[in-house]
Amino acid sequence: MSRQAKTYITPEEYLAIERAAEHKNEYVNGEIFAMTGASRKHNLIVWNISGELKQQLKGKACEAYPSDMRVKAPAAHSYVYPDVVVICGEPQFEDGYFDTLLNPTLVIEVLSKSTESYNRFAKSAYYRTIESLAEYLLVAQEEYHVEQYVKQNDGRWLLSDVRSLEAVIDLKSIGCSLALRELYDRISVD
Amino acid sequence: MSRQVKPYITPEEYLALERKADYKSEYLHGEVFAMTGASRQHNLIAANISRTLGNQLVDRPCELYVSDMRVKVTASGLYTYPDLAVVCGEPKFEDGFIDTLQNPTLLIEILSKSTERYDRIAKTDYYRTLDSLAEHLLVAQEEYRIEQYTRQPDGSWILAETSSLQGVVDLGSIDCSLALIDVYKKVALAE
Repeated sequence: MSRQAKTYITPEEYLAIERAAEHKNEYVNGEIFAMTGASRKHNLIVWNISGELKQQLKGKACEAYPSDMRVKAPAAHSYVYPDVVVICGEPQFEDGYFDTLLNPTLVIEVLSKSTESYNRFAKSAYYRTIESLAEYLLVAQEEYHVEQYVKQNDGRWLLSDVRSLEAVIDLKSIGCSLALRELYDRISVD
Repeated sequence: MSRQVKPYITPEEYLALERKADYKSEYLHGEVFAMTGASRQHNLIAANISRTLGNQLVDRPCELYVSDMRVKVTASGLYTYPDLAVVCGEPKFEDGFIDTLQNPTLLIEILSKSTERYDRIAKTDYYRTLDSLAEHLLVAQEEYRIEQYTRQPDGSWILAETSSLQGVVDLGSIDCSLALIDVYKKVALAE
């Protein structure tokens, strides 16, 4: 993602631009950030997770959207695209375009590099301001490591580091589980 | 921070280079990353926290290091300079140079601006592998917001966010408190 524009853009302008654009952009505090493509590992991880969730969510009142569902977060008036987003119950959208989700239950981000801080810090902070969000995962691609954040009743978040390939993550918010072996299928790390 | 060197550097080579270098570099998995300067807000926040915690720790068996104490986070993996490090009890160092801390109790990082997207190593997940670490803070510089991570007995962490200037963060690990009004003194936020 790279910085594109300096002039302040309103959310309405962003949405109009975005709906006509040929590539995805995220929006934070009046600025638009172009999204770039992702690595093989990144794509495989998203595909692995999507496959697992697709199986387990069959017949449940939940929908999962990989990569291309825009999500609106109250903080910084942001619009972002999570790698995977799951909504259980009735999805609410910003408007009649049905392309901007307001109430995700679970969001998953695959981190690009260990040197990257945007997804880890800024985007996570935006996600945490979404009232409906019960849980989010940050998935490393350079090592076997998933951070699971689960919202507590008092508004704090419980963070568990999962670093074993034998581990299984219990996603209570959507009634699913994710085995790291499946999540990292075909992925080798040094 | 920018990428500098491509061939694999051992931790020993890094330390030898670092000890005679003219500027600070961090080390991650065989690579060395030069550290750059920081913004006015960043420096003000670091000074504010340093003053507030420093006053509270003045007569206690705890030491506070600002900006220039190298911390060994993992044996082969990461050496870095946290914005602030506190150790309560006896500090342990890597060797006789007494310049590489191994057992911080609390680490504090001031977050980069959101527009600086690829400027620094996201180190916090490595920090959490440090057995001595009981707590760490991430302090935003573009808004009044502190993320506090506190280690739980089972190895998980609780993340609590404070985003009101009236808020106070209780640092149980070092028995101190940080009022946001003090952390953000003289720090004006852009609208």
